[in-house]
Amino acid sequence: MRKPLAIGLLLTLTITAGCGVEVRRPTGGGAPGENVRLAVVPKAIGFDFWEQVRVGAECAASKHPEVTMHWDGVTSEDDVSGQQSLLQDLLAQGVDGLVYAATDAQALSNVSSTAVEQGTTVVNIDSGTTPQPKNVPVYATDNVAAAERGTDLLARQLGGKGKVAFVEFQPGTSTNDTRGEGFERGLAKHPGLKLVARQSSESDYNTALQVTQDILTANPDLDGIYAGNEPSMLGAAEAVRQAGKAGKIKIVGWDTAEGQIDALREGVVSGLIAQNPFAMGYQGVQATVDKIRGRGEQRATDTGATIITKDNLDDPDVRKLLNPSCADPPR
Amino acid sequence: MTREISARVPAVRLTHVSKSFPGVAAVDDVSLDIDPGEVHVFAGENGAGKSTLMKLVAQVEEPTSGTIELHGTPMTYRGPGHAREFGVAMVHQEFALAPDLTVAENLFIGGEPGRGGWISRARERRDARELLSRVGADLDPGRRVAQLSTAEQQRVELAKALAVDARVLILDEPTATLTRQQADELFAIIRQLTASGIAVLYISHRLDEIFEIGDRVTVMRDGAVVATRPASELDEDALVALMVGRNVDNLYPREHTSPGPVRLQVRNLTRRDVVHDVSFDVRGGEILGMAGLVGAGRTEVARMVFGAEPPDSGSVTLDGRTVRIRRPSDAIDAGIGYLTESRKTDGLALQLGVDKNITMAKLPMWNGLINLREERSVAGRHRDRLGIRVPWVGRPVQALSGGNQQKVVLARWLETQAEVLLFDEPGRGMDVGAKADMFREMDRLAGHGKAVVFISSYLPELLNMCDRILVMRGGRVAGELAKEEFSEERVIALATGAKDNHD
Amino acid sequence: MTDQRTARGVSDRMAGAISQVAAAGALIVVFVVLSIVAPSFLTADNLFNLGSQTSVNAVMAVGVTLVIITGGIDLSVGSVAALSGVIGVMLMAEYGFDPTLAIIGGILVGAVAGLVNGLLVSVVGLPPFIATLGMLSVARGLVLIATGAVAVFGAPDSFRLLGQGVIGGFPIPVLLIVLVAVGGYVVLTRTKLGRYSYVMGSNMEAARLSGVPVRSYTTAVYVLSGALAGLGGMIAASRINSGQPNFGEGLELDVIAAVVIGGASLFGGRGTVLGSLIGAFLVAVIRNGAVQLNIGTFYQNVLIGVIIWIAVWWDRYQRRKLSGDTG
Repeated sequence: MRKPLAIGLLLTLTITAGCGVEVRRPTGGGAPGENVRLAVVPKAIGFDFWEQVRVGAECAASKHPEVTMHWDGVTSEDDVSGQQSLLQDLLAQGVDGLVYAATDAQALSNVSSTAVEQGTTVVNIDSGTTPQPKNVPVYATDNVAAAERGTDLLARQLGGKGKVAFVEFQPGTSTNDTRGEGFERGLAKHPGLKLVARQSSESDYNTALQVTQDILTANPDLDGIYAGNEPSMLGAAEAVRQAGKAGKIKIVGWDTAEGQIDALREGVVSGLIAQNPFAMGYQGVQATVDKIRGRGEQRATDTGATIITKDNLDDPDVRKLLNPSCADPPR
Repeated sequence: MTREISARVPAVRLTHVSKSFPGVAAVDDVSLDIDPGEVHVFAGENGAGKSTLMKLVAQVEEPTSGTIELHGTPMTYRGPGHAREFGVAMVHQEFALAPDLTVAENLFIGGEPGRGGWISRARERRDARELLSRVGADLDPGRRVAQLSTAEQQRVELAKALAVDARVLILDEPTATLTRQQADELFAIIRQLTASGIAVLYISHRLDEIFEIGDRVTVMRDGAVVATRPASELDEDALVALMVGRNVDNLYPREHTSPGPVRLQVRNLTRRDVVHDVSFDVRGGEILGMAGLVGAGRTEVARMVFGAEPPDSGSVTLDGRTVRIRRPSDAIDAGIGYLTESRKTDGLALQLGVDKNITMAKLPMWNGLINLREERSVAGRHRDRLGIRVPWVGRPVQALSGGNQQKVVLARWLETQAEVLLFDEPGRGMDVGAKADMFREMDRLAGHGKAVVFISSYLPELLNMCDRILVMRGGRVAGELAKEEFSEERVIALATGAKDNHD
Repeated sequence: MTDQRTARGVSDRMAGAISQVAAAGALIVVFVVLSIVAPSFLTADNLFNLGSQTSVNAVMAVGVTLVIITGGIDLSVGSVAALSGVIGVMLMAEYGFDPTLAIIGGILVGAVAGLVNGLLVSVVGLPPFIATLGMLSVARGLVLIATGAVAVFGAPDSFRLLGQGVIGGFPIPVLLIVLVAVGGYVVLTRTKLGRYSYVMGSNMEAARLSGVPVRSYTTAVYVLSGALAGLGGMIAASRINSGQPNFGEGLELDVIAAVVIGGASLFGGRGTVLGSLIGAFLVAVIRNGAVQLNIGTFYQNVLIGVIIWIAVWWDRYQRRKLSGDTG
């Protein structure tokens, strides 16, 4: 007697739940004056880079009084399932627009397409998906091109020859691999450079330190390091510092966190590849709002990269780039 | 009842069967026949090889050499799951039932009635009822096994054997947790089963049972068969002598019997639904027995006195001082020690060494650190005094036989120099020699003026060792018997509440 | 008769040491192989580096060993280490604490987290897995709240001494490993805390019925684990002179792996400090060597996982073989 009852109950619950789970349609926002709810989701919260994206996004949102922006993210850039769940939750809440940086290109592609199907406007920043749905533009840095330029800088600083190591951060992700691809293209152009080590820091400062220490142990005559992101560079810089080789080993890499700027000034690090996270956030949000309002065309855009060295560190344009604010935005 | 030597095919034939483990010959060249319809008892001290031999017959282990034939067919070892194919079923001391499944489900594990993966519940229930009635169990097959009493669970185990159409049934100490009455019922069922041709291999330490139920007895010592005789040709002394290899003068050494003043006074111990208004005294130098059916509340009383469970009300006075016992450490400080009912469950840290188990309640310290050397010598002293058979005191306790394990527990409480000792089923799972050692120790403690409480379900022990017997029934004290009044009938009458037919 | 008994006695002693022998053996093999294959491996510099790199895990492993011996587990050590590191650095950067005091503060933070764990387990009665899993989230959340998800800088340079300093030629973290290991060994073998931990892990009820104050000692064990996680967090923070909110994600698994490789049983009642250290070093040596041989992280992870399987299987196999069943 108990069992048929249980089965019946289960069936009823499933059917009800199934009906309820149909995602709430976005409440509109097509008409002017109507409230537009946006969610902006970086790869992870806790790094300077994404903080700047937030400043840009909020700046764009502030220009449209009817837009409310919600900023949220997971704590680790490789928490793919966490980000997926978060995005699905936001979609279920019926946001009008979703601006996000995909932690994993393949895993999140159907989040984008599902969202688009239900009428939500989706824009990617920094990292898109594979496949990239047709009406989801990406506002990101052309990592390959920028990486190549950074490698050129490193080559120049090493006089065209020397042993180099690559500290990457998340092999398998689009951002990581495109930065690696650009580096490899750069290496190909400078045959005097020899790659002796390639290790992952797993986006952890301590791991970057450890890994660089070990690379230095195996290659005491290392000349240069190419670092894929903020913790990779900071950890590598620390290792170089502790080995007493600050300044002797050239370090060029990505991102412009405060620690990295200090290191650049100090001379431990010799070059930074600066993206324009402010622009990513700003343009991403702006594009979303425009799309919802039916204004203009939104296309994939390279938000650009700047190579920063000690020489141009204090240029006004660079300073605006490094410390963006809504009042004084970088170009 | 004598068995005719028949030309029938033996139910089990063992030919030069041996089983060795690294460094140890657990079963040593055993050759033996067991007839269909016979109850063949295996007796011997712990470590003699009885359990291992049974495991070989039950296909739980593979013999190192020799052959085992069942009804004339040699058995090839294919693993425990295949024993049923040969018609062998074993009921272990610790039942192998799944507590969360129902009786019916347990009976047919591995052979569920039905087709193509679907289980026919109706048929399962029907078949279960039929099997249960054959073992005299009036149980609802839909009940969860965890809810059954020990005796009922045992019936399910027996029914399981019938479910696989076993022709050979192995029972390992089946009466260890049964009352007298339940044991008798079990024997009746066994006789029914043997009447239908099933051969029963029966391991027991209880000498009176061996003679009551056994047709033939095989005594084992150190892995080898010492003798196989019809039960009618043996008596207790002869049997014990064969088992131990020497004459055990006295199974129940009781010399020091001069009780002194009252030392322990328990008054009005009560705990809702468990124990009601229990009061009793124990004198120094006396052994007070506690008898009663399983569930009568004896263990609960002991645990409450010891602080393992808090009573709702009641008091304990020791040597005139009222002691407030809320947790075991209070009791230990007051000088009370408690040997639990099942040492493996809550008495011993099996992975740790003998020495560590002995000092568990009282660590020898030196300047805030454990004095390891003192610990080893303490353990050595107890080992020698109690005759604990262990090559070195650091040996993990789980490697010891049941009797030696129990001695380790006893050593622990001796080490705390407890003045009041509560023994809860101390003889369970112990071989004859070790049990005699244990009882000798109890007697010695009484001789030194300690107050000893002896809880047991085995009446011969109580009747021989105690000065007084307290009988509990349904959580209350049903009565008390002085030494002159000792008799099995009186104890059972009080324990069950049946009318006492004696004056 | 006596021969059987002696044989069993000898094989018993062996069974006890087998697990450590297995892990130590593996460590030696890996060491030798690396010395041959990677020329830079067997240098003083690299070995000291190795010591410092292992120090965080090793120190935390000692604490977790104690917890696992009681039959419990501590999944929160990674998050607690991060919390300690971050708060420790904040004490210096924002409240001007002296580094020594800040380090003590960090350790205290860990101890408090451990206290909460211990009370949840012993008083509230939560299974250790659940209690410490909750603390893993809670501690990580607190870290993010306290730091706003941004790394904390600003500790004085003298703070670096903890993780980067050298005394008498030995890196301080290495000396800390020795200190903590010796302390752990003494606790486990010669104090009530250690002894009762083994007893509780082997049979909790028997311990209670022998008068062991089970609640107090269970709590104490978690406090110790938390405090050592705090120390680990401070060492890690000191190596990069900053408090990283993302530090230690997944670290608890590395630490538990080290303890298990070293022969501890997750059911309790068994484990040693030496074994856990060997386990921690085994994992660290593999990573250290792999980087020098330019073997990628993914392969390292596979290798470490396989070694865990082999180490534990070997341990079980040897124990079963040597302690054989007799009737």
